[in-house]
Amino acid sequence: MMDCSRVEALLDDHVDGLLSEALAREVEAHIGACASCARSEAEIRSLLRRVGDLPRGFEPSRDLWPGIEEGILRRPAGPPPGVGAPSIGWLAAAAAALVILSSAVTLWVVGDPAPPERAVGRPSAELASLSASEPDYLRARASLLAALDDRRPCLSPETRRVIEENLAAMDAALRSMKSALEKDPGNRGLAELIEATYREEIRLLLRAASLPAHA
Amino acid sequence: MYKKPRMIVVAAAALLTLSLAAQQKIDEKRPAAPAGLVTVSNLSGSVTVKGWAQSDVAVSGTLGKGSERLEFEVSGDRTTIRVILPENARRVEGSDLEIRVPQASRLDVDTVSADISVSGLSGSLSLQSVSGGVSASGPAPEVSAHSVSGPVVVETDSRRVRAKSVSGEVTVRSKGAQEVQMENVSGDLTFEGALTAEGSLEVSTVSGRVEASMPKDLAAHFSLETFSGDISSAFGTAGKPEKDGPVGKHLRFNTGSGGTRVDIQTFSGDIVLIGR
Repeated sequence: MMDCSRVEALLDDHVDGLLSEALAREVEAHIGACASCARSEAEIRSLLRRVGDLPRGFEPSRDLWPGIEEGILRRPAGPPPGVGAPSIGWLAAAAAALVILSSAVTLWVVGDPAPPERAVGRPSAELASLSASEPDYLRARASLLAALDDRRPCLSPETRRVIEENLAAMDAALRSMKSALEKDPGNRGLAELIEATYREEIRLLLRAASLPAHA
Repeated sequence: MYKKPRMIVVAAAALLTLSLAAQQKIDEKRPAAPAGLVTVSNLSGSVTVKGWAQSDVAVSGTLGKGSERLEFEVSGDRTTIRVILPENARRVEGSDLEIRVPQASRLDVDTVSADISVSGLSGSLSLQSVSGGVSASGPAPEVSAHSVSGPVVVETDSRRVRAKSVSGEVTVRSKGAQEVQMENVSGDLTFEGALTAEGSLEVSTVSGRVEASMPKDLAAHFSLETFSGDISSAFGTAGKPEKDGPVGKHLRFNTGSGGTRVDIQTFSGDIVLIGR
């Protein structure tokens, strides 16, 4: 059976229904036998339901963040920083943050089935939505970066270099795309690319924070 | 005075002996389920997995200096292969694992810098690395391959392929996939091959160049979008890319009955469609 750290790494994809049938069965089998992971999954699904229940055009930074933040800050006693894997509760909360961000931005971007009218120079739903989501993203990112700092001493210089270079590349890409979106605020494709890059950055941070010692 | 050089020689010899002793050859085999799940975890070095007609899982290769041991366990239909490192290890060399598994096995491989190479499996594959390259070939029906900075190459007969990276190149060669998703932030993305009649190809990148080479007679709906890159299509679009904002290009068109869906999005990367 999968161990808890592996299941935690797969939970967000599992909840999104993105795992292969075989992997999903493995995750389900583990959840069925592990109360802690079952609780993590239930929390993610619950948060996701809250997003789904919100009306279009909601502002999740006001409604959802306290729960996510509480989950992230409620780091159960575990191994000290730099030893072993990070705590499951923390990772679950971080994964929940990822799901929330992903779902929220996706909801904004694709929530309206009819493409909005494009009007040059007019502030669009896409731009407004991304602006509204940014505080949530930045808070999740800051928490994950803090977790990565905890892990940094036990990662190899090469792994640290790869992670830092890729984070820097994604930040540069995000800056360029956000600047471009200001010039073309109705560009739905651009908003989707920004959202995908945000999501990938959070995924990388989650992965980096959960790497084992000596990685 | 004369003792010092001799002590150094003795110490060096002892270290060399320890070092050689620490390099462990591996050659183990266990009976396993014919279509079980095999999970492999190795931080650095390499992981090569091949499917074979036997019902055993076999591991050979070298355990890197400084590694504690190889965990190799079979429990029910699950086989676990894991390089275990000592808790306070300072310097650990990479381990090279060559693994043979029953052909129908499902596989889950996780590495940090170790390259992953998989071939000849007909079960689903989930492969991920941080900086190692990931490559998969063979008849696996579903493949999920991800590396942060390493190249990702998938050459399978898969129904469903997800190939992603952050800064690595991503290449998929397909004989007729139902669903292909390719993503990165930078680095080229290349798709070659065919999709099923109702299949889809979704490619998304920030600055990578996308090159998709598909049959000339492909019946598909194309949606190609870039903010500052160029679009080149060999699929007879006739019209010019529409500009539906102050900047950027969006090209939508159908060929034939349009059953297959091809969606490609870039920020600054060029999009090139090639008809074969």
